[in-house]
Amino acid sequence: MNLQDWSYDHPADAVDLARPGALNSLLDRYGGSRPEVLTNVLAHAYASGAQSAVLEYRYIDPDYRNEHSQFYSTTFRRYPSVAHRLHFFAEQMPPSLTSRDEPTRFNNVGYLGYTVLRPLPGAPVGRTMLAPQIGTQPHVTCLARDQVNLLGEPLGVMGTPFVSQDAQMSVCAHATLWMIAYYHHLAFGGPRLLPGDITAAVPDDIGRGLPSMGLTLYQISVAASRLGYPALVYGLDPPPPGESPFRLACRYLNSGIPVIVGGAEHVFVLVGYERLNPGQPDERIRFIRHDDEVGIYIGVDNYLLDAYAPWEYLVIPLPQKVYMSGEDAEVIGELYLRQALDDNAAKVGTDLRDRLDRKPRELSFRSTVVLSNDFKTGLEARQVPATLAAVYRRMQMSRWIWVVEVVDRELRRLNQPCVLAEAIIDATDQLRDKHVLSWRIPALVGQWNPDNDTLSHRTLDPMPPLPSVSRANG
Amino acid sequence: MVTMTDMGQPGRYPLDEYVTSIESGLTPQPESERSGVLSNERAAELGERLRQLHSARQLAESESRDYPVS
Repeated sequence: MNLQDWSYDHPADAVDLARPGALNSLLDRYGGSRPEVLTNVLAHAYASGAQSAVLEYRYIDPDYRNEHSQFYSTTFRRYPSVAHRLHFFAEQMPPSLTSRDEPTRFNNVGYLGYTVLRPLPGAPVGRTMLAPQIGTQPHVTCLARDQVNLLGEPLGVMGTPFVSQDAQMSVCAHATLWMIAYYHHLAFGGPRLLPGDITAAVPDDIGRGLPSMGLTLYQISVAASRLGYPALVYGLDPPPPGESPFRLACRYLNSGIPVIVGGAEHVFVLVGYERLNPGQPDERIRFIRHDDEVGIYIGVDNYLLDAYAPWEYLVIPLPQKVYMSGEDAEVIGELYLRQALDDNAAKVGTDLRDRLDRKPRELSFRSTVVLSNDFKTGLEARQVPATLAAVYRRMQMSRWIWVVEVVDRELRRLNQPCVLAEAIIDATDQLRDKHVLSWRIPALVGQWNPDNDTLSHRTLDPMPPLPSVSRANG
Repeated sequence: MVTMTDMGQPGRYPLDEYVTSIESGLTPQPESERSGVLSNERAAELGERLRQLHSARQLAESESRDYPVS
């Protein structure tokens, strides 16, 4: 990477990716001494059908500019303070792109996303936002929309943010925290945190903070809390009673909350999962991860045989107002739903109650934490009958709620609406005085009013299974 | 015509005369019929399952403390 040639006298270049050798030319210019991650990113763009690209020069990337001011401006070796940004498109660029007489337009050229190229030979891949490939997209649950402006034209992309570590200012732990913070910023309106904010949040009582040789999980956990995302830590050897790595991770992935995995003294981020061979004896979960040392949307077909096996810990940074863990919510929701079915057996019948205990298991519990406003506004899209939607939309709820659903496994396997009942739990609730805000079983919906400890209910007409609130597909 | 002076007089324009309630659509349950309240057995089961989960998480937080990553 020749940093003397980092400045250009024109704002951008269009790249024809369909021409043989285009990929190599990008790698030659930007790959530096560690081209592996860039190779992965370019391969992903190609596999997503990228036909063209635009290289934007003199791009002032807030993250790289922050790294530059905090670290790269302090070294003897000089680094430019601006980055380049590479945008990918699914179609060829229109001839008007190079017209001197018309503003540039990118209509109907299929924006696929971007990667920021840092002038760092050892770590060129900066902030990256690329859409998953079409086959993977339904299984990536942690998707957020990012918007950019290229030559005056606003462009949007749905993806999961990625950045590679530079092994100086950020190691895998910092990169992972950055990905999660930028994701929460885009998805849930969290603060826009820069690399320097993350470095500053790490407790510096163990080892040197800058340059960093690595962190401990304790430092990650504390940094996450200081950044506004208090983290839950789960050990996987063994997992908590009644739990498995799948159940623990999928609860949060269902909710669109990324999960950090620690294994082989490395951390990476799970951003989705796919159920392979559902309903078959060899059913298993294929996780999808961002690995700052390898690349984006990487499938993990069998976590037991993974390069980072054994996975030892899960660390899950949560929005500030999610006090309650997923497994706590699921136990509470399960027992309240069982109680409601017992109490109302005369009114609603015993079929669902009996099916809950049937072997082999026909039904399972699925828990998802969602913003209550999103839950309410999504009722119509989920085809929830008007009488139930009316009750839910008028119900006063905490900002975040856990929704614990009773799911018909066979219907889920067939990708059909599969929710037979649900409980709604205040994500800030008091664990020593456990309640559900609401429960819905066939033909009945009930509500608990926390202000005066009263219960109310309404009978419902029979309704078919409903679609899940989970972001997971199947 | 309402003047600012009129508006300042308590009770002159009771709000109740101008509003229509938007009800929850639910009917209060009588105390004698409280369904959806955990039985003592289920409350005990809930307490025990949560205790086990919290204990496992505390242990993980403690054991993971020095786990290095880079």
